[in-house]
Amino acid sequence: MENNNKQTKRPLDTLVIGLILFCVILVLVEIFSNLTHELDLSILSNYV
Amino acid sequence: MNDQTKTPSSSSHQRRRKIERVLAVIAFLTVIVAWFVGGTLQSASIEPALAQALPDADKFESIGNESYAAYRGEDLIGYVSIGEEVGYGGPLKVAVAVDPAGNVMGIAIASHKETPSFMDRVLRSDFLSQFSGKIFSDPFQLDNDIDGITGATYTSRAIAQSTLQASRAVATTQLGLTVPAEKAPPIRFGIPEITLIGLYAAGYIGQSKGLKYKKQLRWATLLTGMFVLGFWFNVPLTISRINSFLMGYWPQWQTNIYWYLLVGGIFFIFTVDNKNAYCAWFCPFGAAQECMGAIGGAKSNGPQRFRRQLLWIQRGLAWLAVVLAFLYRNPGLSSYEIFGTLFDLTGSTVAFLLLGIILIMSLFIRRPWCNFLCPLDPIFDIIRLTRTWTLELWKTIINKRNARSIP
Repeated sequence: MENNNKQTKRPLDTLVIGLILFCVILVLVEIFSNLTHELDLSILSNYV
Repeated sequence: MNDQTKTPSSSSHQRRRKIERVLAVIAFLTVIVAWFVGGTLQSASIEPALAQALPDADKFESIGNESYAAYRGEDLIGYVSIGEEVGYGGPLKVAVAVDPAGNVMGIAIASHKETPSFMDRVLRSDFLSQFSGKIFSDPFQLDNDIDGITGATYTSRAIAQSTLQASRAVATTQLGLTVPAEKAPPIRFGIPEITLIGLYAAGYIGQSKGLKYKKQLRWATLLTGMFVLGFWFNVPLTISRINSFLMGYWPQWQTNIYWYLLVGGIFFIFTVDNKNAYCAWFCPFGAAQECMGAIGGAKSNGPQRFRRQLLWIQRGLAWLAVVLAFLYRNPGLSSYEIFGTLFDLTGSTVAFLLLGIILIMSLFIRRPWCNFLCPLDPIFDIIRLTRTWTLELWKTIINKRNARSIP
């Protein structure tokens, strides 16, 4: 019984860890897209 | 614990604590370095804003104090002055064109640190155009002679205040006009402030041991936080606010009591009592996740495998967000929280995708955002660590002094 629980829990854990890592990638995309926006703005304001 | 009684787990705990402290010091030093490097990067030109504020002019001549005389050909057609006030994210500068009679001819945003969605909301509306034709002696106050933008109140207020400053600067220094004595802005103390004080009190009392109806009280504070501070006013604690506080971008207290209560309250309660009433008791986004958890029957705190590694990833993201904000002197620059995405339905496609995944995960595990991604948690860890370390140092100093005083 305990073994069964462990066996079903492991793939679920892996799925959750995978989702969390995917969220981490999304967070990094969000941070760097904000950063790119800021860099674009400062470059534009220096050259307009 | 002396060396003889040390177990392998206690020594690994000691080692881990030491590593945490060393990394905390390194993180702190990198933030300071980012701040100083950031000082050398500030070079955005304000000239485009001068032309935007007064497009009829073809030449601007600096007359000092961030003011410019504007000419068309050889004719002086007005002045443009730069007003500055702290907005939601940091300093906000506005170029204000004033004619020789003291009337505002036009305004333009010269620079800002606001969250892009807030500023977009202002720029998409006709908010800026309502300043044209006003005179320097007008009050320039929201809900009085200026209509603010819902969902961007802090930004609207900072623009109005900057315009007032700049128009009055031109009136006194260039036009020799008498400016009415500046009245202190009316103190804003309303539903969000009262709710926040009540929630702090309930959260603080709720954490005491043996309290009857603790569970019910916690649900009441969570739901109040979610509906009032979240959906109604959209004013949760964010890393932008912590960054603004640390960078010294403190807004006018009269119109921002909520800001001071929120940030000051967190630091005060942590310092005095090492308690975090906010996260567990009334964080609006935490409450939203718990509601989803109640629907889905979430019981687990998430996978225990790779827990440490995931914790360090969370801390790394928070560090990156703070360092970038300090480097560009922009508190909201690297904010990746999805609170506004839920409560205000604003944000990028990535933010909506992230929100969707987090809310679905909340059905099965408790507070996935708080446990694995929220940048505030690592900030609170640093505050806790600093507090414990300071107390330890203090005790060591006292013990040494006592030992020396015993003959």
